[in-house]
Amino acid sequence: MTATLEAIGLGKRYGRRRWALRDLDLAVEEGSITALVGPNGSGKSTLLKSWVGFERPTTGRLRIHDVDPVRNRAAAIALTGYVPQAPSLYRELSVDDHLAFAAVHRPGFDRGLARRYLDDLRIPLDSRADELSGGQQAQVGLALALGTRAPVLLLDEPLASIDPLARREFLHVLVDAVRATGSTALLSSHVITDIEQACDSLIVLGGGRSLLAVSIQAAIDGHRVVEADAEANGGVVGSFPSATGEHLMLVRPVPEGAESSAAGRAAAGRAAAGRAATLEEVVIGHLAASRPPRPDRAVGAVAA
Amino acid sequence: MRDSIRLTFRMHRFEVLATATATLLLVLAAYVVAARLDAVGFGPCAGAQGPWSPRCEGLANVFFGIAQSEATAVLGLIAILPYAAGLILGGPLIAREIERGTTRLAWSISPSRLRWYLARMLPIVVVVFGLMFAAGSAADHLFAAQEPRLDTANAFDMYGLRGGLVAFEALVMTAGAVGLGAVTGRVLPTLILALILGAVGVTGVATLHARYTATEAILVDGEFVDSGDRWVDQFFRLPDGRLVSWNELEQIDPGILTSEMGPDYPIVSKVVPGERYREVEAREMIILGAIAFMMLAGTAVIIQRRRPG
Repeated sequence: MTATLEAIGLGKRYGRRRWALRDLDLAVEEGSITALVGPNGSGKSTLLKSWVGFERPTTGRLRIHDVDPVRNRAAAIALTGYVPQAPSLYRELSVDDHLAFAAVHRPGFDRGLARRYLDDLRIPLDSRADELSGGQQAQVGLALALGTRAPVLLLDEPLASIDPLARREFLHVLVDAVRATGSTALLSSHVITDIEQACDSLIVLGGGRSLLAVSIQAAIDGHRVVEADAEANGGVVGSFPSATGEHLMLVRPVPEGAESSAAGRAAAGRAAAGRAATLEEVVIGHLAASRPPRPDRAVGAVAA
Repeated sequence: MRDSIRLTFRMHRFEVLATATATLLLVLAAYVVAARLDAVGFGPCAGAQGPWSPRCEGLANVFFGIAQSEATAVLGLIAILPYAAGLILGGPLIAREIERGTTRLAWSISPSRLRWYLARMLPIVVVVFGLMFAAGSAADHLFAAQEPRLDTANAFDMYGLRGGLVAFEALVMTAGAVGLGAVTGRVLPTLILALILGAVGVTGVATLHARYTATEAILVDGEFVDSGDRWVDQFFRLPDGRLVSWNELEQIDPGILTSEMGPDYPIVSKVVPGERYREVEAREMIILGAIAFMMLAGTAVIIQRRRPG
């Protein structure tokens, strides 16, 4: 498979000391819907903004279909449909005015296609943007991005402020559009259940670095959850509390051959005794592992 | 193109309507007051030699009553109009987009930020220029009615407060406010900064240009200059032909200025003749136009480089 989006040794520093992204290497495969997951401040928005030329990397390179957005921002934007984090519609304009705006400024913008998506989502074209709910505004943003017919869609937490039903409709439209056109989508989100249904692949960002980049299926199949004990040997990714307060550990099944060592045998035994991990547990386990250990708290003190 | 202009006006409907309404009301008021002044029929009396007849005295009372109250008020309001229009229309143009985050949408849709900027800026600049040109022309017309003895097309009186200069002052103000908005990305700081820097900038240019124009002044005999001339300085001509100022004369001949007879050297005035009004005005328009163009071009560079907010 070819990589549509690439980051090579990417670093972005704000001010003198704060690195939002550091030494980040990742690739997003063509035609995939990839979820970008990470806590607040992990660099998700910075990464997406860098691909549309809104942020200039401090180190490293970016590629979007072989275009460097730093050197050729116009070409990068022409390849991209972007849905910003917060709804960024013009409150004085109607929905139809937004389509007219996009048609004026984006060569090849398919107004008819965007209208069809909005019709499907039952969003009245004559409504002013400030009369729409947060969910509807996000859906207008998606329709605008899809109307560009761009081969790459970058969606920066569009689901954050919308209700479950609107989220479901949003994802349904997104998945249908991507499957129909063969485009590539990178969706940053906190809502793991939605990601599991809509996305093929997962990238977990933490502390500005890529912690995990695999297919959703591989993420689930490649991890198991066990109850935490005092002894943590090989195969442990991270420990985290369950919703009911139990201490859990995310572990990887030990690769074949590794059982020959004592630690490997212990880890394999522990993995076999555990249960299948949910996607949320996979994400949380990896995020917990990326946190610096805090001596005052048992949870989060991870030995991998 | 039509869609682009329509959308820009839609986004700035309130500002455009408020500025256009205020301007058109003032233009209308200027023409109404000018018509009232003309209707008094004071013109022939104003140009008459010798003492006025009782009829002229009566007309003068009515004429100056209107001129000093209504005409002065309208001209005073037109004088602040270019600054207000520049602030109201130029300030929010980019600043509000950055503040509200709509630039994230616009700059991700439009591959060319320059094209987006031109589509936003040009209609507003044309509106400001058109409205302020109308206001300046109305001020010119009213001032001509207020000064029936003066050839206002050849007079420096009310310089910068009437005619085409008003439109160019507004252009600089608008360009400055647009540029500051692109830098700060916030409306309120933009308005405050633009008000201070714009007023200082426009009056600064006017002052510098007046100083430059003074270097082109000519000398005319006599203490009293023709109405319409711009007075620059006054000198005494000594018997040896040297020109000296009052201070210099006092050093040469202490006590002469306080003597009962006063100095009997001929007085020479330095003036820019009123006939040069249009030429000097055109030059200042070109300077202001160039400054506005440079500021708008500088804003384009800022927009190319900055984050969308």
